[in-house]
Amino acid sequence: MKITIVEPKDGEEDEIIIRCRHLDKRLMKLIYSIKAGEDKITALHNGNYFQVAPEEIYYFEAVDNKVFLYLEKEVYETRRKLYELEELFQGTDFFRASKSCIVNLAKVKSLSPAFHGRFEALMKNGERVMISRQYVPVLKEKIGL
Amino acid sequence: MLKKLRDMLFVYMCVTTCVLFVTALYITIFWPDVVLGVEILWQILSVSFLCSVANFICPQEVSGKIMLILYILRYVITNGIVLGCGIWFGWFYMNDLPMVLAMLFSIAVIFVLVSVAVWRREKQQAARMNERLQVYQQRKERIE
Repeated sequence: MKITIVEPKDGEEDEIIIRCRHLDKRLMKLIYSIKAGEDKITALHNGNYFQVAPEEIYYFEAVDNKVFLYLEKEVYETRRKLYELEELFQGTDFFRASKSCIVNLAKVKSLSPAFHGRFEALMKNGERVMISRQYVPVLKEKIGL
Repeated sequence: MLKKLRDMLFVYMCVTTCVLFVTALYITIFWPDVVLGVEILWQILSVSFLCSVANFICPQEVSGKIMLILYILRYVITNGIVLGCGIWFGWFYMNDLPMVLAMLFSIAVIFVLVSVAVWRREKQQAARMNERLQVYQQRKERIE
């Protein structure tokens, strides 16, 4: 594979362009590692700081100006704001589910209606997260509907 | 916005259809000899429209408890709209108890029918979303 590095012009954003005939497994893995691999989240748990990989996270939730990340069983706290996390994980499996929640789509087991345009996501660890009507189109677009 | 408009149109369609059936029944029972003008059609359409709009009074993000309160409130508002318009258009007399009861019963039946129709539609949507979710996750697993 040929790798070309071009210096952007002044004012231009750094950008990675992948020129390929089709996205194969190897390339997708590469894209995923660029998007998510370096974005480990520093989180607080029982007074200690940990680096948490995004694929371990089920969802983020903001409660009383604090942001928590929910793993399969544990709950960690992060200093990052929800909007920062939304930006950080743009284009990955994470999507905004409500004003206070960002959900990892890879950890959603199923979806069910929750009345008046809202949906409820049943996570693979058994927890339930509400997807507000406002963000349902975001989810639909993500899954290709 | 387009999605909201589509949802609204769906509710309006359901409400209008139900109201039309109930009106036919109501006229047959309480006003069998009356000669009706074209205005009754406009009355049905406008009352159905008002009820459909009332169905969409809901903030974007509310808890389940508030949602239930809003649902009850919506039912009360629908009763207000139909009874208010009914008096205005002269559909019934307030002192005629069977007529008032028939109106209340009709509102309740239509409200339940429309709620069930909306629920079924959302359930179908959820089924489609679950299918796509599975495809999404399988594709992702293959890549990993």
